[in-house]
Amino acid sequence: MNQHTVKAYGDELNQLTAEVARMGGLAEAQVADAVDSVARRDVTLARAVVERDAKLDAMHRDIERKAIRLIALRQPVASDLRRALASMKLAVDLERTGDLAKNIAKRGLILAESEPMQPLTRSIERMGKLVSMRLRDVLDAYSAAEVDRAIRVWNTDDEVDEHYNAMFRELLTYMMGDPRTISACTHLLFMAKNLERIGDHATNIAETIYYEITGQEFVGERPRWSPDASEGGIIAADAIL
Amino acid sequence: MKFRIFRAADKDAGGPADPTEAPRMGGAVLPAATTETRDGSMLEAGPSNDGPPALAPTLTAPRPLHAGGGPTGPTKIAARDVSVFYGAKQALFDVSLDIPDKTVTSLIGPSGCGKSTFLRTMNRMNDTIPGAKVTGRIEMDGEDVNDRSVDPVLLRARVGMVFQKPNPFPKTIYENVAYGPRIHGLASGKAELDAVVEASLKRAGLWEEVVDRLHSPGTGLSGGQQQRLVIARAIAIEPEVILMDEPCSALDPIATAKIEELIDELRERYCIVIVTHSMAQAARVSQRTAFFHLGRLVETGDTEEIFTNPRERRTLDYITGRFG
Repeated sequence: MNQHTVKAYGDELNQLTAEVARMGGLAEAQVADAVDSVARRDVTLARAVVERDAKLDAMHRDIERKAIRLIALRQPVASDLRRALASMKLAVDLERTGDLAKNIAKRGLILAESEPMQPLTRSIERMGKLVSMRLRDVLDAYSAAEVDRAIRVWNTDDEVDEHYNAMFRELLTYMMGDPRTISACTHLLFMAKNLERIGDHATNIAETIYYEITGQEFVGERPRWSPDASEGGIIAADAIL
Repeated sequence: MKFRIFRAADKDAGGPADPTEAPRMGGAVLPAATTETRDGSMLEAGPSNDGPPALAPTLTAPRPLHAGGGPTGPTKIAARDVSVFYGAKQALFDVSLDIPDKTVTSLIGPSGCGKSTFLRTMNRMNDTIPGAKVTGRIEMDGEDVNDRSVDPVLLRARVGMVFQKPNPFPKTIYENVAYGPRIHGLASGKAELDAVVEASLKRAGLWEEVVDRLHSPGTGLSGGQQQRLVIARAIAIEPEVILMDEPCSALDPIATAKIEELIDELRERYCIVIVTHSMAQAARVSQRTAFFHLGRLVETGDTEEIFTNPRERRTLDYITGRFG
């Protein structure tokens, strides 16, 4: 793309993109650290994640302020306008991602006080790795402005859903087997749900990238998990949570 | 309002009087740049379709092709392969463009891109420039405006023009508006002429401001008022097309807003073509936009499309301020 005749305008747009990428890096680290703190029962790391969330909130406000200022003062159109709007939308998704990561860390702090549940925390760790990887992929796609890569992330969201459903069943089995684990398992279930939602934010981000670059609304169909597809006897996970 | 519309061409040659019956250009030679013109049926396929509302947020719902804007009338002026030469210098290269009736079409592009030259071909203003030569065809309601039988004076009565600087006659406000109808014989008698002047000033949104001083000089008005006076003068002779060459570039934002509001109102009755350097203005007032560069028509389309997702790189560069 050619340079803007008014150089400061182009600089401001680039700065906006860079800040979203930076915010994305932090959100990604928050998710990874939160999951790590749960897996390793690391209280210090969990506390650090909780504290760092304020930084994401501040970045979100800052990006929004800068985007509004740019829209008011530069009156961007077409691809420039989409870039400014996309930065605001992405900042919201990243801020929410951060909140979910913080929630995982908080639950980790509670879990650290009870008995370790090795196989279950390992499942969370696996799901966390998958979600972090997807988040990283989609943010790389944003930095590199690669539509195809973003779409690939969008297309593979069912992996996360499958993970979530498997965890749901696993946790249910545990709770039925030993009611004393219900409290801990509920926390783990919420963690899994949080990770699943972070996965959804990654797909939102993919859609926003698609819109920013192509100017078209993203149209596509993804196989969605539905209660009918679940095994008989198991309550639909989404119906109760 | 009842006064005769004097239109020699219509009476003598039996030319089309109803624009909806205007012969089209056969639809065969549309250049690529205009093929995306959407017809009425596609316009109706928008979100207002009254099918059952989708219950689940579906990603497969068809994207509304077109949410607003768009031409509302049939083709009024059809330009085909229009080139303009000033002496040896070619200013316009093979421009083909359909201009719909009852629609505002804006011509945008950097200085020297040929947009004003193209505008001036539509009422043969280039005839007045020594050494200027126009090739190609410009049809208004299917009739070649460059035909030898067409009287340029009568043509300009049908195709009015408003310039960058307001140019009222050094006469009273009343006389400025009454002049055209009088010389074209559009009003018989004082009462009828009064009615024409009042109606034109009202339609130009100026009546309230000048009703008490109709007989003071037009040049005593403010710039914005003068521009509206000139528009009143243009519409007093019931033109079919109004050409505007940067009508607001000498006006302040409030006067500009009034002219833009006026343009929007006039759109119901006339075919309006506006040349503007302000892209924001083109976006605000027009339904169709044509982008010119280096004497060529680069892209034309619905204004909404041009300003959100143009197809041509040069258009994108221009509207986003990346030119040069």
